[in-house]
Amino acid sequence: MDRLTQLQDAIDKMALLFVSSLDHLTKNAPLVPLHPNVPVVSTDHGMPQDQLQNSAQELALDISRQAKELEALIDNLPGISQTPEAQIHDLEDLAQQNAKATVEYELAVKEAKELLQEVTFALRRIAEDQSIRS
Amino acid sequence: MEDPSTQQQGAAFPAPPYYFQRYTQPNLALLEKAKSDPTNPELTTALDALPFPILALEPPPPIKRGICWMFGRPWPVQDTLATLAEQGIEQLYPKGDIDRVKELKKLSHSAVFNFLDLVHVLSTSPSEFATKVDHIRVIFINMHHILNEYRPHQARETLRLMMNDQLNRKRKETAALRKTCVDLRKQLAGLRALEQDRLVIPAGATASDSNQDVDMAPATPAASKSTAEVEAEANGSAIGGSTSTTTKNAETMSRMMQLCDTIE
Repeated sequence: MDRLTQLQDAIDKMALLFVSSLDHLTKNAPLVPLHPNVPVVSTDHGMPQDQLQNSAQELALDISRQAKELEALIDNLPGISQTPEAQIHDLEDLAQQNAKATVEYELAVKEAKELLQEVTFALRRIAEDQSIRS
Repeated sequence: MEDPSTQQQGAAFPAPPYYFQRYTQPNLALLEKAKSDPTNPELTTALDALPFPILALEPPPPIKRGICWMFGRPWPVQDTLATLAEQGIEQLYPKGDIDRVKELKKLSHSAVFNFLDLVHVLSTSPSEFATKVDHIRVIFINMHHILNEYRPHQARETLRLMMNDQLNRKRKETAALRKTCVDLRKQLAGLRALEQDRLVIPAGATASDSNQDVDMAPATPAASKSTAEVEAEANGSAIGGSTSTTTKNAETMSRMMQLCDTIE
């Protein structure tokens, strides 16, 4: 897959990581009392605190890993070594060379076909000769 | 019987657009006359009687500017990438020529920092999240826009590489063909030299035989070779020589067939 598409996918993945990490944390956070006099009663909402801490760690690790990958991909971008004008000039040049090479190729093919005819003729005579002799 | 509306609903395909009824023979004749001679007064009265402009019978000209609608979506006629300012997004990287690698890295770092800010805001005063989310959105849009601007360049690069490939392949094949031709020519020359040697041996070749040679042989000397060998057999003097020629013939035949295969 070409590098630009990979880069675009990596950026989208980063955004997805942002969203999913926030989502995960808010969904699974345990209940917290709003007022010191009103204690929390239900206990089976969300995850226990230490498990949440672990997952927060993992998510942070994921995000930083993705950032590193993004950086590596950016470094590997195919270089912008030429300006667009230079590129267009190269393309025209190459088009001309291609046309010339096609002409030469067709000449060689014609030559080879003629030679092939000659050779098949010679082979046929040899074969006749062989059959006459035997 | 069913009335036409229910018939329409039951039909397998939709009806053609209503203006197919305009294409009558008199109307088409009017069109021809209008194209050749637009200022004729009786023509204009006849044209005014029609419920549609006469030029509507011609196919419409192709669209050159602006937007055209296709399959329910608008497509720009000139396919260009809209700049960020046109899309209403603030451009965070400098205008003009930029070093894409550096700018992209800066943007990715600031994306992560902004995320950190967002988490901070959410933990302190959650109702103020909107500005940070907007910042992150702008950063991502900028990054994608830099990449989109890079696409035409990449397309030209790819085209250049492909053309280079094609060129090299053609040149290689031309060289291979030429080499095979040279080899074959050498083989043929060798064969001709061989039968020239054979012609020397039957010294008693009669005039009739040489006439036969002239009649039969177009370009190949193979014909003269066959008569020479028949002569040699009849004489019985060069039988050993002729068997060696047979084996040489078989060899050259197999080699020539190989070379023919490479040409084809």
